[in-house]
Amino acid sequence: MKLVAALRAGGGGSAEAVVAEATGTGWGTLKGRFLYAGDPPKLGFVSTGGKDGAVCGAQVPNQALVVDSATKGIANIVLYARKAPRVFKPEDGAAPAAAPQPIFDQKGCLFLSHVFGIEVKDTLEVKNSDPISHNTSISPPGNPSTNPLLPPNATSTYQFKRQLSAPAEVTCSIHPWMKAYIIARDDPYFAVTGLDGSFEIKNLPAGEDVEFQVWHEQATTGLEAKPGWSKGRFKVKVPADGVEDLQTIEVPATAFH
Amino acid sequence: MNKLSPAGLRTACVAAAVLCALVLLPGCSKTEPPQFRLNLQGRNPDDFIFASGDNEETRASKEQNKASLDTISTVMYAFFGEPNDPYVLAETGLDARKIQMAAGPTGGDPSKHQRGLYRQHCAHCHGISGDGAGPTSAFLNPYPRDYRQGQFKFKSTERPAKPTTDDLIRVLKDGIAGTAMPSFLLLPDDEVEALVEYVKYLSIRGQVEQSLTITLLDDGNPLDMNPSAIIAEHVAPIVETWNTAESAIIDPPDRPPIDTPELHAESIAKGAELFRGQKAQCMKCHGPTGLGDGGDEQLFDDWNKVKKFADLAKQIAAAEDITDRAERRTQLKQLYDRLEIEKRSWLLPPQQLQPRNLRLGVYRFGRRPADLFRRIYAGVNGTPMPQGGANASNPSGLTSEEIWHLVDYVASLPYDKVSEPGVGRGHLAGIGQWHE
Repeated sequence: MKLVAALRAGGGGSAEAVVAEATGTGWGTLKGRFLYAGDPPKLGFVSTGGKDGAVCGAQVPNQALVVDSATKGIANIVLYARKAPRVFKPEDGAAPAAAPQPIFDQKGCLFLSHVFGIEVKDTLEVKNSDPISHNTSISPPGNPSTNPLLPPNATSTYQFKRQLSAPAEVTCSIHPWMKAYIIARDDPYFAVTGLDGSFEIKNLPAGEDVEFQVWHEQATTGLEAKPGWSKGRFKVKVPADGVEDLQTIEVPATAFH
Repeated sequence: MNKLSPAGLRTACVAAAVLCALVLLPGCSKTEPPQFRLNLQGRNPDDFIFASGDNEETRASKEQNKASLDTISTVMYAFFGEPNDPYVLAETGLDARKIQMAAGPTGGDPSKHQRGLYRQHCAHCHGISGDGAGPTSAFLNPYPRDYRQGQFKFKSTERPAKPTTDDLIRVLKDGIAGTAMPSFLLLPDDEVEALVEYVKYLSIRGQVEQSLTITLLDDGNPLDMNPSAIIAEHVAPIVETWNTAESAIIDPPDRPPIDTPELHAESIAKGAELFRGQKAQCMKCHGPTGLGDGGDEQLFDDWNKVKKFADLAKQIAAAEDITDRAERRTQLKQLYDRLEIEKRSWLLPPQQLQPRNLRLGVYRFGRRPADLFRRIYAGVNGTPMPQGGANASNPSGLTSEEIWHLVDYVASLPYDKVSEPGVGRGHLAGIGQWHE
């Protein structure tokens, strides 16, 4: 009740203010590679029911779990720092060349990036490279919802207001098989694995514990890729000016649902 | 002498015990005052319930989750009070007098001031907490609106914007055609305004709760218990969206002239072409003839965030086809276990959305040309109906001229010959050419 009175009076609360302690100064890199343990699943297909058949075709690949048959690399796994104690700024060292404006494109009635990462401060550009209209519906918790009609070759923009704690769905209501995921974060410490299952995150605060969340579309409560990665979370320290290599992480099939 | 038999003694004792219990039972005649329900929609209940098999880590995580719920409850109580005793935080800009009129139990207070309007008129569908899950909600389609997400469908403003006060008053006075939402036109204006204020209160309350929940439960961050910091981060941005609604009103530009039958017919024809064309894509959901039969897909709105359910249904169907018996059983078990969790995580089962049948002449938020213009321009917020019109963030959308043609076409559909009652579907054969 005292706390309620304090909150209503606008007076100071009881909890101590949380100040992130900057203990380190350097920056380092985290990398690794996710491989599928066992026989990789074959790429499935989703029927389009012949809708806009001339552009979409009769079926499109089901991208829910994409495993490269040659290397067993698992694509579209997302890693992001749950909380970064420090964030790299350009004055902290040689910054990587400014990345081009992130574009979220769709072609052949498929989102070209099945899983997409963006910083909250950046403006998302949603493009339609098809000769027919799409609509791109994004409605993440804590953020405005949007669902613009995108005529052929149109580009629309969307601004996140708040970072997401898990990737949010992107859908097209005209072509309901179209599905992708976007994660928006306050810092640049996120990565999506490529077709070979590898990822790299640069300029992480060195010498400090950083907790990462690992997410996959078929492990939405966290990809438990390794024993001990409860809820898909693990802590790691990267060396200053060095690379912490998680090497090859063999993900058991049971980690995906 | 009248001796008490053992059986009689026993009866007397039981009767005395029951009597004692009735007298001593505290608060027997009173019911508990209603409380706002915590918003745990979409969350796994097992994250908060201790189980015998929990290891140390799981226990700690559950402890933390429960502590987070305590913090959320405390802040929500401090900032918003409870249903019988609402607190109006100054920073919300809400009118405390109106909130008092709408809140609390039905009836007047001792000085005969109106009280409890929300519980009298709204709570049975929209719920005490404004979660759209009141006792009658399960029987309705569509479900009553859940205000807590701060999303509203029927408004005159740009898609992401809040409705204006006038929009909400209009919904209350007109009701929503084609739904269970009735008209409250017979209520005095001050009562309607009090209810609108209370809807805003519940909506702001719900969004603040959602914001706190994201920080504490999803991000796993502690809350800085400094009130001004909480207000700045979790209350002010939400109040701001309500305060800026008026400036987001869509003002339909002048329409191309249709003052002669020829011009009108021409506009309708252009609208029909757009309706079936690949720019507007209307017929992909509303069907080639506007009957709302364009897609066979499952569509859901944001309040039925059950794409997970829809996906699960598809995954279960796919798993049924697995030929290896053991594998099929394992997969199905996993999927049904997940379905069970999903069911426990939501207040109401999923409700599928139907694209509107445009030939009925039933319009949920008005039949005036300006109303239809706004529906096509901004779409219907929170639903698959997209924002069709061009604006700053989507410059290649439909032009206002195109939207006006579509308005003319859509408005003509209920008066089209094939829409007349008693006319068989056979008359639609002529338009079969539009089917792919």
